[in-house]
Amino acid sequence: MRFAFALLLIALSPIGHTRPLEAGPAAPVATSEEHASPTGAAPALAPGSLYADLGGQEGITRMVEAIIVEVKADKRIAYLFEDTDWDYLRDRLVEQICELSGGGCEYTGLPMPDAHSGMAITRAEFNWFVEDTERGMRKAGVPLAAQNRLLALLAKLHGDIVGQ
Amino acid sequence: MQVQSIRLGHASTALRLAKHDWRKAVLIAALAILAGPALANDGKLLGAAGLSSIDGSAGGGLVPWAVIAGYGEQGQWDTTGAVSYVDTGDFNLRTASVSVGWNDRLELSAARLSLGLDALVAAGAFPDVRLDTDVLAAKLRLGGDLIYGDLPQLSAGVQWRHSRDRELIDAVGADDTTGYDVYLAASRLWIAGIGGRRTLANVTLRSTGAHQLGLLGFDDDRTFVVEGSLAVFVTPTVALGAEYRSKPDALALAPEDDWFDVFVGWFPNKHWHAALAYVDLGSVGGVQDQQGFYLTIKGSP
Repeated sequence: MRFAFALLLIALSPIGHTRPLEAGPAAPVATSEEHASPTGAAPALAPGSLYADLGGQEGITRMVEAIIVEVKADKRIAYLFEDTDWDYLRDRLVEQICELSGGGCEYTGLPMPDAHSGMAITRAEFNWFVEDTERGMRKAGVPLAAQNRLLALLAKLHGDIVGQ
Repeated sequence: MQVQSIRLGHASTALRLAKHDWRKAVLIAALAILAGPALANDGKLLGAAGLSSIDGSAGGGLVPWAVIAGYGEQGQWDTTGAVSYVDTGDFNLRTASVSVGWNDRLELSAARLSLGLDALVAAGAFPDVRLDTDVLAAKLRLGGDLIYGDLPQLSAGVQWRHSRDRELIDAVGADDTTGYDVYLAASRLWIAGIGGRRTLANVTLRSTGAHQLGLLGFDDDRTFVVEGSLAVFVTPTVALGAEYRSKPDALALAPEDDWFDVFVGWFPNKHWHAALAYVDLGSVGGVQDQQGFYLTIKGSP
């Protein structure tokens, strides 16, 4: 049984990255061929970093715009965004994702609990937003592993967003 | 083949009726899916409801997980129906099940398991009937979370089992026709797990007296068994995985082995899932080396 489990793990291992998931700044990692490095980009564009895999500032902006299209079209959570200033939201999301992914930006919006205060967002609504985010990232051409790494970071905000 | 000495007289007629019961169970499962609630019930992320296990509880194919059946999140509920088919050449097992999950807290399920003893029947060792067992089960989420927060989701469950074939149970030397399992399951799904893919791991500890899921009756003495599952979503809708279910071996006439499977699961949307597995069931009913395939299809409204 253990042997079979090991086989499964070995079989699955090449599916993901051929480079380390968390390459340190000094790590001798080959430049990713999946994405062109954004020109004139932010400070910490370490190849193999999540920020780079998301396509840097340009890629993140394009991705956030795609996510917003999906969120606007999602009737299940539309009422939560009735008073939303979409340009403001886009800019804050870009900042936040840049910061989370190691792009060296600083998020200038409200802390998460304050930003969602009084909205009583449910677990289901949080998941629906996650689904819209996934769909947006997919349509923006973000690689699956990078999508998941970003979602895993956003998932840590669950407790600060749900039920506030 | 030691079970050749089994003689079933009147049981045959009763068991033939049970054949029709099985079709009825499939029909009920289908109706339950169609008659499900029209309320929002899709609050969980795709895949987070698992499949329906062979016993009817939400989980993998062989192992119940800590997840609550259906896609209902807290504040929602959902119904699920599933059918599955296992064929090793010598035996086949059909199951049909229905379940309801409430508030992502409580799961209730009912399953009918029906075992066909093709090899024994062909050898003239057994009348042409199927052996049926009912499973009524409940599962309660105790705490934690499958995806969010620091702790894995932890649930406790009970599966009450009743074999409908008393004469066979007596003939193989099992103590009872009725028994129950209690189990504790811990499940966790990492969004960026192996290879940056969603990865689910589950461990289940079970106390049981059942011989082969209860199809061959129950022992008065209980055994602790350990079960585990690992699944990786190689794409958002396709998962590869493996499962292991250790089993008691308390029936002298029909030794029992641990079960193992490798599977590919397809989760095209939240309304239906399918999985195809290669299973190794070891020795079943006195016949050794039972390997074969396992197909399961699960639907929710």
